[in-house]
Amino acid sequence: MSTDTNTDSTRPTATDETTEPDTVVDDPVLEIRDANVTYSDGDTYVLEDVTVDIDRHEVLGIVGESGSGKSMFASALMDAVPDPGLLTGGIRYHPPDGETVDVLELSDEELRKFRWEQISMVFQGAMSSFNPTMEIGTHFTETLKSHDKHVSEGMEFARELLENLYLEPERVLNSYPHELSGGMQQRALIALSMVLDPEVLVMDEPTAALDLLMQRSILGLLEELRDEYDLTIIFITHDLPLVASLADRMAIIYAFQFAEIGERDAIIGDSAHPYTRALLNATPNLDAPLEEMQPIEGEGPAPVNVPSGCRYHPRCPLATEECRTVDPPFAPIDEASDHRTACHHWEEAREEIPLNFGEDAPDAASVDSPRPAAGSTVEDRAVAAGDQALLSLDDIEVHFEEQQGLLDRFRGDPDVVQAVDGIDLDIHEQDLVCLLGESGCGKTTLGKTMIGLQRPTGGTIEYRGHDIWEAKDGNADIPYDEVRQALQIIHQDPGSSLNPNRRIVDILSEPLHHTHPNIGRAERRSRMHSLLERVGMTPAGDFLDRYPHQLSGGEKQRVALARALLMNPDAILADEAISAVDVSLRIEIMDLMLELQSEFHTSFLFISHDLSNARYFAEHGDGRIAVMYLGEIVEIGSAERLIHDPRHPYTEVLRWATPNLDLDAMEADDPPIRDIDVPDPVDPPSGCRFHTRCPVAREACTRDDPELLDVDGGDGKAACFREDPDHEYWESEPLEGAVEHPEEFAER
Amino acid sequence: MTRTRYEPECDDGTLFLVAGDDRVEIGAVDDVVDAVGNETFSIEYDEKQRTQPWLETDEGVLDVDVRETVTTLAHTPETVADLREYGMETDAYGLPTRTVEFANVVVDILSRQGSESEQ
Ligand code: SF4
Ligand code: SF4
Repeated sequence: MSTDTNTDSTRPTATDETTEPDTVVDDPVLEIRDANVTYSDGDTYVLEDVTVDIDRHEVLGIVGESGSGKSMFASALMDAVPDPGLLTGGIRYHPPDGETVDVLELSDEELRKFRWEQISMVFQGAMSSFNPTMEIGTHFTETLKSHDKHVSEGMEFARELLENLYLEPERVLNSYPHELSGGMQQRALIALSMVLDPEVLVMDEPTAALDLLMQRSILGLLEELRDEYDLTIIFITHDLPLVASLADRMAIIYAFQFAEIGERDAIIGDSAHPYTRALLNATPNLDAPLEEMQPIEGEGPAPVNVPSGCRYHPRCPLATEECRTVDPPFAPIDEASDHRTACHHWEEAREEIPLNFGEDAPDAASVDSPRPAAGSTVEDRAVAAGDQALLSLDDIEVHFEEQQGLLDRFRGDPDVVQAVDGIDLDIHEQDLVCLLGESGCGKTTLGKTMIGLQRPTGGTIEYRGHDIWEAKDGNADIPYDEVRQALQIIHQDPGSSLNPNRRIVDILSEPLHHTHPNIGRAERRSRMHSLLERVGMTPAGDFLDRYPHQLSGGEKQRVALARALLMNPDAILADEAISAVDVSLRIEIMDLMLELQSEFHTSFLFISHDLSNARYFAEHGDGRIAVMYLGEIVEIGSAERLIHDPRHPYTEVLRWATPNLDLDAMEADDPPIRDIDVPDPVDPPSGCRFHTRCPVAREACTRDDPELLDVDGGDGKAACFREDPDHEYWESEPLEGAVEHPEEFAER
Repeated sequence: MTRTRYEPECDDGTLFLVAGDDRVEIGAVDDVVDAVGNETFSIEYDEKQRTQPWLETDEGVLDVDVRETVTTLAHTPETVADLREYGMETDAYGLPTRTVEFANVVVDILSRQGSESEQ
């Protein structure tokens, strides 16, 4: 094994340990030595002293928050650091046969060949790197030609790859990029990145834009590709539990350096770095007791502001004087293992930062302790008390036809075209409902309909007993303005909903003018001040005069929340409002919303594709989760019941797709569905809409659409024939690929 | 499985989308180009995107010839059904509504790619 030290680093190398290669990696495909990426003439490091070996045929999962340098690491592997960044150090590539390649010494033409033929990459933003005027097939042929490969042989391989990715090769090859769903585009990109048969595949947040279910399905496929084509995979993500299901080894990047690396099980179950442990504890998952989930205070540093000593010290509960002055070496924690960490006090970390899941969990039993069965949700209490609903949906239907659909669809929100069908739902005072489902299921459409932003094409929606749309047309005895004010929305991307040209003070003044037209300037300012502090933006005075672009993602989300609250709303719709926020901050923002819900007496409607986030909201707020599939609610109930006793096979699928830190249950198995892709929402399947994917679908399911019925022995409702013991379902034949009992599906 | 598409056909400067014997008038190619705003539509790819082997561009910019694209790019039946809902009477800018909507469709398709993409 080579131990060559780099000579052109602009910086003295740290201690000897940092240049020691891993002890356990014995057949490295890549050796990275003291890799540094600097900007501004070497003053600013965006990747610092990275020394790591990548083992042939391993899956290395690399986890870091946004801005941690993880994408820079990916770029460095292909010597593709964006200008004017300077990459120094050593990157050596060992092909299966032939001579070792010194990647940083390659000429431009050699580098062009090396990329994609030896190491290829699916990177963030790859989904918009297509040529929109070429069919997908042409992308393959162009790729083959530009690397002087035999086109017809290459295309044969391309078809095989596409088929292995559960795509119909001819259909995909003959499609233009915009004609494919996000999940299909992503799989086409994976096939493109593999068509030159590379040794190493680097994936940089390849699935972040997709639903959890599609992400998990793609991970399962990657595992198969690795085995079939002897690949080495480097998977970079902010999503720790996602990659944990796939990785052999994992590394954690913090503030441009590796903080820890080791076997997957050691990183999850016995991590040594305080940051890794905090990150694990901050990860919403289905196993941890809710009370134990904790945010990590503060944010990672910017490249120009890296703290002295250990760069994690400002956020670390164990920091000592030594930590503040001496940079801890990235060293093996014991002789025999390849578990390395950069912490002076890793032994204390293991003792003093208990993990909130797995064996360490303080009281794992409390997770399963059933909540009181009756009167446990806001809904049960309201129904028992005979209270009038805040919002009442009766047989709501939204069908898009003609003008509306198409153009909105091209603006990238697939939910917009989706019809919603026959929805009955009551939302009560201080209620909390999470709409959960994949994109295209209609959850955004339904959410917007609930707060009067979308006019239904059938059925009625009432606000405190008044028909919203009658009010809008001036036919009700309630002013429409009152309805509008009572129902607010927070968007997924707060940036796009905050006017970039207005300062925060102006953005927040607007609702105050509306709700309190007669108060003076000083009073207005003091109200904004106290609310900003309340949502965690302190000192508020510093923020009021800023523009949105001067705020972080989490801060923008807080401003959006404050703006909505200033309207004194009765209900707030939060559309995927936390999916854009970093993992370490998610719990904090969710807690904030939950606290504000009771302080401001509002109801919350959350839209999410992530069951663990939905669970967090629903369980803390005594709310319900409504699972949606192709425009219908297929199951609704308390989080507790849905997670521990799901009745609809689709709820089961979402449960499968949810991140999990339980090492025993972690292996990436196949999803319990017959088809990865959602059918075209414009033309949904007959009968039960889930029958094309349902693992236990039978003949009868293709004919009738099951109704939502009360669940026997639990709260809520489910829409599946299996809930009715007398249904003809039980006598009919399983559909092709389906099984008689759900358990058999997993064992196939 | 191949899906039916509507292929563009140009007849004396007028663009039609055609599948079998169904023929939908879109408008004058010149009007489409006017509505798009330019003869070329430039897509700029970021440094990583431009390393994709299928992108051969100068400085990461792909200049799409609008005239060529609208006369060669096929469209789905859904797109055509939606376009059909718009009439050929002229709108405020003096161009037929359907022509303008078609131009919007094309611009939306093109602007999904590149570093400033809307995805
Ligand atoms: S070196 Fe000190 S500050 Fe850094 S992670 Fe370890 S204990 Fe915390
Ligand atoms: S009704 Fe049939 S297809 Fe639908 S979820 Fe139940 S078993 Fe599956």
